[in-house]
Amino acid sequence: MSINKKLIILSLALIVLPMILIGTLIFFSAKRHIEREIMAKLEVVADLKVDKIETFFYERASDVALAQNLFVIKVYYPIMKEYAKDTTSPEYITAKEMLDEYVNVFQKIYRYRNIRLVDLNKIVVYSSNPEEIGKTLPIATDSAFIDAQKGVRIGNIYSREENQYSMLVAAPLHDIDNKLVGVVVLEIDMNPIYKFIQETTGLGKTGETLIARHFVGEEEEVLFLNPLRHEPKAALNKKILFGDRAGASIQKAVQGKEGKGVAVDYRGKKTFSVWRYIKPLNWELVAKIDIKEVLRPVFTLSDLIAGILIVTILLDVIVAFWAARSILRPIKLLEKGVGIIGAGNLDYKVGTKSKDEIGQLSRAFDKMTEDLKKRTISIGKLNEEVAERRRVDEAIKKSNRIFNSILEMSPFGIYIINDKGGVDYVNSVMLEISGNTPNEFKSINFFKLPTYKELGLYDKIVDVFENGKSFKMGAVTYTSFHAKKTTIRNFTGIPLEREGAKKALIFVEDITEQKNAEMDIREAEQKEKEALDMKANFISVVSHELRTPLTSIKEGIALVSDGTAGEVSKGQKEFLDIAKRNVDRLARLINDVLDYQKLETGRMGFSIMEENINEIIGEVVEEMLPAIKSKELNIVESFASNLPPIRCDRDRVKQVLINLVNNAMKFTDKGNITIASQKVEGYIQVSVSDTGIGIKEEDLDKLFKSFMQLHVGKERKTGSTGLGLAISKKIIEEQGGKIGVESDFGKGSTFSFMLPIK
Amino acid sequence: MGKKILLVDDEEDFLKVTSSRIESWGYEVISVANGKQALDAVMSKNPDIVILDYMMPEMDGIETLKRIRKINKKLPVIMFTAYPNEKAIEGAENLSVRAFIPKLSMYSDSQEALKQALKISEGRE
Repeated sequence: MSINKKLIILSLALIVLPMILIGTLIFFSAKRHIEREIMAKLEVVADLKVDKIETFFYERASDVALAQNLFVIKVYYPIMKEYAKDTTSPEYITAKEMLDEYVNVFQKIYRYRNIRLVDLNKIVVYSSNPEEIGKTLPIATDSAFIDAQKGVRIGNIYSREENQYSMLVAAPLHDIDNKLVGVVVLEIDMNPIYKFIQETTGLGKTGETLIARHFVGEEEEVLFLNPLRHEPKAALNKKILFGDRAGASIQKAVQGKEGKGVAVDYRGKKTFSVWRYIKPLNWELVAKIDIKEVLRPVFTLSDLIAGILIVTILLDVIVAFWAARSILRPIKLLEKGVGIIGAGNLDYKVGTKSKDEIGQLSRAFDKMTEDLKKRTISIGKLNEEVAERRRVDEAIKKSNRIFNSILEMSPFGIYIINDKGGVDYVNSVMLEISGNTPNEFKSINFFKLPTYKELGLYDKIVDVFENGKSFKMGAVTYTSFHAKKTTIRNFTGIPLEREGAKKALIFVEDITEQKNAEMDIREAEQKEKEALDMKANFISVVSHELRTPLTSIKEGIALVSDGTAGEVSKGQKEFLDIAKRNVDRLARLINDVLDYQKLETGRMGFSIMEENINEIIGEVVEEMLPAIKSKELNIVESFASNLPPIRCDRDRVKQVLINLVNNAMKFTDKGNITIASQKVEGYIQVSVSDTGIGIKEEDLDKLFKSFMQLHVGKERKTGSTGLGLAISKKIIEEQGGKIGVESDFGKGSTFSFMLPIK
Repeated sequence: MGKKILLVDDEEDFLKVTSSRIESWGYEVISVANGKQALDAVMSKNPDIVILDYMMPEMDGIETLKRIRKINKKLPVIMFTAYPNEKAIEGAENLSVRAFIPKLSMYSDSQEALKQALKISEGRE
């Protein structure tokens, strides 16, 4: 697209679019405002007229009601009727004169076109127009007359003569004996009413008010009752078929509706309309005005805006053309200059003087031409540069040789892939790893090698070429393409640029042996673990199996020993006691083995609760007091007060304490056993000290190992299983604590454990 | 008078029961609780045969036997053990042990072993 077109489109978009937008907004808001105003006006007009019409006819109905009750009429009408055949009789003349006088008075209330008194045979007995007397009522079919025998009635408009319209208001007439004798009929001249209805002040050139009546003849129709502004002869002549598009508003009013809106009138023109229903008369009133007239100012405004718009567009196009030309001219000059200089005339100057960017460009161009000229002159210099370049290339080649020899000496397998997937270089270690000959290796295209794709190496190498991203892939089991040698390799790839081309440098480390060794170790570990599991399982099963017969033995001995199975002598009792003691020992051992096994394999369940340690110690002391006393040892309790609670398994902690106190008792012949509790940096420490034989320093660290009974003389006779301390250690450690011992050989030992406070 | 048997074991209950059993077979039993006492008894009580526990604290069965052999090279010795194993037997090989009896089959096997051991020692005398 040319700059011309671009400028025009751009400026049009910037100027014309907002104008259209603003114009549209102004148009619609003005239109809405005017519509609202005219509607309000029409409503006022319509309501005012309806009100006036209703009042008018109410007054006329009152008039006729007054007439009907006038005493003069009640008296003189029957006389006139009686002497109607003799109009010259004094009675008739007197009656007529009386009525004339009264009617004159009545006419002062309102100017009726005629006042008649009609008998039941429709013969006019009296009329303010003497010519009518004695004749049949001219509009005998008027419903007002017939109905009027029953009460006050208002008739329909009728055409009296050309352009003369009347309406009758009638009421029944009774004599003084209250006997129906005739009808009072007032004839109203419609012209003043029409004048009032047709009054068009404030309704412009097309606005008007009209009345109509619903009329059902052969077809349902709407009959216009007054001369219309645009059709003066319409009164009682113009009809609209019900359901027609024309006269929509009047049709709505006919249905007894009130409302307003845009409607098509009897001429088929669109109007703003307000419609009302006048119930007492069964009339419909419409006030309306042509839309075209109302909105003329608005359309004028929109025409004005359109005019401005067109002028703006024209101006805009002209300005855009001018602007484009002022830009294009220097460019054309520049273009011409480029052509001349390109043809070899380096002395040509474009020489644009304009101060804008294009001017700057052409001046820069001129400078470039000058530089080019200088450059051309210094071609000798250029040759020098070429020579320099050659020296640099030599250096690069040399450094490449060094690079290659480094690659060759590397302990890793190395090869270089070029951007076509071929092999630029491969070192001997790599050949050894793959088992391929140099020619085999170099025949491989790594972009097409299926195994590279399967292992994801291909994607990584592509990444090296395309994004310069290095990669590492560890422990890849790889079978070489030609030699089919399988090795476990670590791959490392890094981007390389050599002689201006992209390459990928791949390092391969053969970790097959290392991996195999790891695998062997893992297998051995697995086997060992299985063996340990089996052993643990075996011990647990055997120990459980031992418990059953042991229970029978124990119970059997007990039954004999307590005399249940017959009297037992003292000597027999002695052997039974030995048996019992040893069965108990065996049971203890089995329990210990099971406990130890559970702890060892992590299957021991702990029920951890918040506990008070001094309370636990108290319970243990109480339990063991008889045994301690029987050995004539003193028990010393040294509890720290206000110790915080600890979370532990009460029974297990008791088991540990009992074990420690038992041990202390076993190895102490005289003196004290001291149990102490205290708080030590986030832990609660419980210690059991004795004044017994003590433990040699070199034995201290063996104490907590399983089946480690120290061979110290008579201690074998303690009946312990050798598992107690090992179990205790595990119990304490399982609960996050520590257990330890201090001893002074020959003087006593202190075993203590610590449990965390939280 | 029956033959004199020296019974050496560090467990009191075991000594009591075993000596009663052996006495019931018609032998005289001298019970001692450790190797030291055993050596004393060998010298002072002149037993016909020694039944010796292999595993004892301080001076174990092999050690005790070695010392007995220093005093008396021919005295028949029966050894018993809770865990019979080759190592134990090897250790006792050159020390003329007449029989190795597991502790669990003590009462069924030792009577026969005792008779055999005594017969051999009588034959020699």
